[in-house]
Amino acid sequence: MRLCLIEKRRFAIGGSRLSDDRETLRWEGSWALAVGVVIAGALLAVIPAALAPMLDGATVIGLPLPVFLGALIAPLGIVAVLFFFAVSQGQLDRRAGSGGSGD
Amino acid sequence: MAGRDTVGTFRSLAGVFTLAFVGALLVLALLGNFGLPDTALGTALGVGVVIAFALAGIAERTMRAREFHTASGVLPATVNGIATAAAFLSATGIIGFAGATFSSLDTSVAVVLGWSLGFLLMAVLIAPYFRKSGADDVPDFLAVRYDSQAVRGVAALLVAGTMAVMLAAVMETGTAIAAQLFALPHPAAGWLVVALVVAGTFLGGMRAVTLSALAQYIVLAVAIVAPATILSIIAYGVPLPQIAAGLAWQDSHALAAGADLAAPLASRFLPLAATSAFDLVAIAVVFAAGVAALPHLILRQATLRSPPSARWSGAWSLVFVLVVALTVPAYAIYARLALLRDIVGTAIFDLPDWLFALGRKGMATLCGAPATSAAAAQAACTLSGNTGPVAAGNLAVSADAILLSWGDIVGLPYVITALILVGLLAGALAAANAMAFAVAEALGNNFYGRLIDTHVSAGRRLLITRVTVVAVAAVCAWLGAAYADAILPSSLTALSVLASGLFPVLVLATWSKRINGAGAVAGMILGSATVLVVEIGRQAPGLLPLPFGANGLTAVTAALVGIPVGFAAAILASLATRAPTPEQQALVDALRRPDGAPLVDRAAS
Repeated sequence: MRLCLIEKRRFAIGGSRLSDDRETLRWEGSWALAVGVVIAGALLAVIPAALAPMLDGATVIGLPLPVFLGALIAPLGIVAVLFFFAVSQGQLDRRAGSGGSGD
Repeated sequence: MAGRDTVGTFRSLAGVFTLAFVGALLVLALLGNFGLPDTALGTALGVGVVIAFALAGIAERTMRAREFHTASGVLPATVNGIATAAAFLSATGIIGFAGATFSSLDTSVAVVLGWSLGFLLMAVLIAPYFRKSGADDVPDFLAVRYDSQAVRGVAALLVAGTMAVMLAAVMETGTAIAAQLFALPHPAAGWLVVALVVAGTFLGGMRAVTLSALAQYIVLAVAIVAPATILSIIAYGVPLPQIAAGLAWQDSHALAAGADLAAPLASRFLPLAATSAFDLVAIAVVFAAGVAALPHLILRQATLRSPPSARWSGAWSLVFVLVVALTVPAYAIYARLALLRDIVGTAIFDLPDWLFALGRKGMATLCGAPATSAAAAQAACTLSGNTGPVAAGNLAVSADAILLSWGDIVGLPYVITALILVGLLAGALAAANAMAFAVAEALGNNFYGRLIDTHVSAGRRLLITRVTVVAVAAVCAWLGAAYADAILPSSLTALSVLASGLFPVLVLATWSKRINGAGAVAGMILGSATVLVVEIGRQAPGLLPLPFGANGLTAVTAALVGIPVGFAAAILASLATRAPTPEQQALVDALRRPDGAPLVDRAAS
């Protein structure tokens, strides 16, 4: 096994210091984005599941409302959140000068 | 260049296969219309597809370790997304999901939400960092991150144990489907499934698993989407089954207003019994954590070009999963409508043969007795004082029959039943290939090759991994067949164990620099043990007296306790022991950056 730690932090040189600051910013942005995305996904998933037994009666396109929300809208919402995450994280990567293309 | 060639080949073959499959399907449907016997039709469709899967596996044979373990790490996000979706959509899960929807729409909502959230958690919290590490699989990733061979050993055993249970369940499901499709005895169908799994993994490793998975997803998606779309157009003139299902639900609701069907016979594949909002939230949460930690899906991320690709791949995986998952509920709703409209109110001696075929398999009852024949049903109903036509409350159908017999239930030609069976077989094989590969990587590549004999050459490790694939496939097929009643529902327990034992340690690996090897070992052992203790206490009451009312927990809800235990054990054990060295913390920093070389260069080992 060859362990190759390519990235090294250098605080002594001005240019590298700037690079390190950008990296820190990227990481903090990444943290906040990841937490936001996970919370958004969790709310989309948990709310319809919790509401399902309480919303009996109302229907949309024939389906009970919690089923419509939970089995169609929320999963598609989670997909949208995931694509938003991939795009936003890619922008953070590019701002830090580290690419970010999916393919 | 080699990467581009590989991807181009995969895309071309997938395109040719799709055209060939759809063409063959149309020809067989026409021949069926002109009188081709059902068994010949099903066999022709099944044999053609099975041969294509085997050829895909054999054609991608390789002697290069990198190609075998990670398909050279050149796949784009969309291709890996399709292959990941195929590996996830096991026949066991799809049949169980359809049955859960038939039993309770609310449970179905919780399951699909849990799946969706699981892919989100994997794509956001785990996959990009796993890809950045350069590790081959989950035990390798954890060993590199925590710099600990103890972590490697525990993780390898945890992955192998849980994946083996799931693999046994999937292979048994595949065997049952193959037996029905090809009219084979159960043991012969079992050997066929073993041969197909070996063909799809032994020679080509991850390359073969990937190409096979592309073909398998195409078959599965067509097999699930097409029949429901056809019926939606016929019945309501709406080509979207997800929308038309609402109209069918209204119709069935109106029919059931007087008297509803008896409660479905319990599912063997996904025995979920949600009765409250707590149960539904528990299912969503535990499925999410379990799916996010599924080792056979995570190791697929090693095939990607870069860490950012892993985020896109997670999003595409969920899109391809939802193509199937959002369609399956329509099957349950149409089946319910057909039972209420076509079976209820019919005289017993006019009932269709498929109902008695289900009854002989223990999957349908009339008046509380197995509906093995019209005479037996008549006798049972007379005994209970029901002498007229079938009453809704006297008819109970197994949740597991909904997909397996859907064409019969809704009155479509046999080619539809054969198509669904072929699709389910494809799903079973895709999942089995990926799971067998994950177990072989954990045991052969990791446990033996990097823990027991650390000086073994890459070539010998490759050979050992190949041999392990064959052994794992054979043993799990035998386990599934010999202990089917115990193994099928145990998949849920395995998922709970992964959620409790693996998910916390995988998340903390990237998101906390303070967690060390001792913490990881403690988290995996205590998190898993929590679920196992509850399950043993539940299965053998009195053997392990459980505290604090834990007897009321199920295999799923046990993980609600196990997940926090896993996190707490990892954190507390880390705080009680020495902090990771500056080098180890620098490694975590490097893990978080999407650019730069992988942390470990497996091409050199």
